[in-house]
Amino acid sequence: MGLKHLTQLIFIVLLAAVIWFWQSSPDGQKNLTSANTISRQDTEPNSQNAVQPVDAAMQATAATTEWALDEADVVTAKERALTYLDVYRMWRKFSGCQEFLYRLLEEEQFDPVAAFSARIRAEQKATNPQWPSAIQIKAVVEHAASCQYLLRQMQALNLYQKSDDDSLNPTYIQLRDRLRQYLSEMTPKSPKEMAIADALSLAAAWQNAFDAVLEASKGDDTEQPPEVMELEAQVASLEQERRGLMAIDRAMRSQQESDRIHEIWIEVRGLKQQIIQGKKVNLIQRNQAIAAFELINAQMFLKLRSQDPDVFFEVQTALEISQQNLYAFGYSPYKNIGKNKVALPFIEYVSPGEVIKNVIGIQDNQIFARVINHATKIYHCELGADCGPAGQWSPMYCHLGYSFFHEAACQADLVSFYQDAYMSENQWQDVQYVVNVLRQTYAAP
Amino acid sequence: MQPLKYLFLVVMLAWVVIIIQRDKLFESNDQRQVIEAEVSPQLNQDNAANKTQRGVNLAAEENTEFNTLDIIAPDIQQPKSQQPESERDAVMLEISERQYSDDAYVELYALRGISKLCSETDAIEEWMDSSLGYMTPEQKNIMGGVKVKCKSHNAQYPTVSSLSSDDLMNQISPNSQLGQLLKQRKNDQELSRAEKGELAERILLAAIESKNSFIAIESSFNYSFGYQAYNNSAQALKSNDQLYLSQIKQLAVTHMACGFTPAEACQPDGYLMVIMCAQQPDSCGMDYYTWFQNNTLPGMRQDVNIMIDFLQSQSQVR
Repeated sequence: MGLKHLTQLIFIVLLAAVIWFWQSSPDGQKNLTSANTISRQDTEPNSQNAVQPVDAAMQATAATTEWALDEADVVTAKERALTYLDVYRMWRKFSGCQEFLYRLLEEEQFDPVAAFSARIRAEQKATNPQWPSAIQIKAVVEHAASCQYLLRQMQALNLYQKSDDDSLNPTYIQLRDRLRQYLSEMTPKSPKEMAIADALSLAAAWQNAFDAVLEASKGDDTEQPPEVMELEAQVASLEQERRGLMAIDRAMRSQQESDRIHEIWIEVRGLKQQIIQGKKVNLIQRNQAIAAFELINAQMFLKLRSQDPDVFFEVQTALEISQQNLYAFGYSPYKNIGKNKVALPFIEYVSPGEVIKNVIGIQDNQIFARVINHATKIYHCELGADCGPAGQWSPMYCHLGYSFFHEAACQADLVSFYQDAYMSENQWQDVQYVVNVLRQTYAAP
Repeated sequence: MQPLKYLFLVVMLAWVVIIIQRDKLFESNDQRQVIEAEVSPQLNQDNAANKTQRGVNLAAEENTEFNTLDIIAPDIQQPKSQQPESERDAVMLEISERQYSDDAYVELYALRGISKLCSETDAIEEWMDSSLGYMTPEQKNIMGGVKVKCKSHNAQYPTVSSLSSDDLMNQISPNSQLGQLLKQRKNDQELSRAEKGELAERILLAAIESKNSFIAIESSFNYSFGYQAYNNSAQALKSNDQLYLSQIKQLAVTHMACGFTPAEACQPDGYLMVIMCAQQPDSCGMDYYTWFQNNTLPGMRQDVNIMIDFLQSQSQVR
């Protein structure tokens, strides 16, 4: 073999060695692994995950949005003593991670970017064929990482242990309840922590008092007059008929059968209304329940004046009964006050949103909702809430929502997004007016 | 004897038939007498007094022993134009003086829509009752007025109000663009969601162009105009708040529609304000423009004006 050939051979061997070493390094393998596919197993950077085809944009994003924890972080989470505020933050994070955690717990391989892409409505896709964009993917992946980290934190607290037997794995709701229980058993220490704990405790007492009013409003059904029994028998018969029709596969169901289902629904609703109205409410007991409720309600309304954003959040959502629907943060026209459920709905209850509604003078619920919910979020931000792109509110517009998505919200704080990319100038002025009303109502000395 | 027997049977048979038909004829005549006493003078019929007199004569004869053929004869001898031979003729007669459109299809569409609303006053009252657990005095008052209006409407358009299917409407060919679009929507089962939205937008703009208050108001409750329409609105107002855009569009369309004639819907006991009254008891008794002033903020009103200008320009561009 000549020198020239030997040199070439050495060069080839060296090149092969370089490639081999690069492939076996942690960073190298990470770039080949899909960063968007999440497994229920702990995903180490050099794990055995199958290589997924990733397009250039996603690959570039993956390289800059590393979210998988390595062993060192997990050990740190176990060893570090979490404060009350830490666990409270986990609890607040939990609701924002609801969709993600639910899917992760139910699906072996969950791809949050693919899930987000599937939720983009066809109309928006048609106008934005390049979606999901790199900006959106980055936001989704970072959010997924934070939710995954939350799950690991719960593992560190022994609130979640992965089992191979699916029947032993907790549901999302069970995990949520465990976290809430864990928080309630912790001792708040700092003034802020004590204020939050106090608000949560009072909110729970408020809910109990509210439920007591509804209970007292149900009416007496222990002695059923014959007329009510006859109505209930009719309802039972109609419901049975409806169940039979609903059991028919929708594709096989005739128009007549579908119409009959709707007819039954209307008829049952009317009968139930009659049954409810036939019940006698003990007004003395009801008024006593309302009086007890009013004492706690007054304390809750005082806490609306808190300058702590977390206290305000907890009290606002409790009083508006909108904990499960943060789009109605500020005002919910569909609060459960017992309509169609109890003999005397709790129409006497006036929520904070309704107080502001009366101050402003708008009577139409839908029109009022167009300003109050934005204004309350802005006010919450003014108190110091995390209103950055990954904070409390912006992700709802960026990728968490269930309607149209707004790419601008993925990189902006909420207030900037509202003013620059979401509201018309006229709408912004109206919302600012309502924010001012909130300031005067809640923050004025 | 045999032929006589048969002749007797025939006569008896004819007698029975005449007896049955006689009752029906008098019933319809009595009804017509009642209706004509109540109908609006706008109704394009013969002089009411003449008809009433004829009805009285017929009623008087009913109480006497009669020769059936003599009693039937006066009705048979009436001019055919006053005695519709078919349901279609009756409908065309009732809508001969137009309120909403020169296009019979559109006119019938609007009137049937009102009839349908009138048939659902019970449901509206139930809705009012379920909101607070009772109807407020103002709501009861409004519904009283609505029922009077509905009674008048049904009396003016008895056949239109009693149409139970679309069969007759399907026989009428629209002669306006709005009518053609409405008919197209009747058969939209095969359209995609996006196409349905586009069609809804075209109907809205056609209603604005032809100043049809009923169809404009009906369209204002449709929030599914399609993404292109949403995009257009977003550009007009420079807003990306989908719910806000839908709300402003609804307000703008209604605002315009209440300026068209007839604008009965926008009166306190009109069908539009009745729905507002059911939703918000505090709004009972208001006409639309009062309600609008009470329920909007300055910025919204400015955006409504922008949207009105935009929709009007769009309706001209089609």
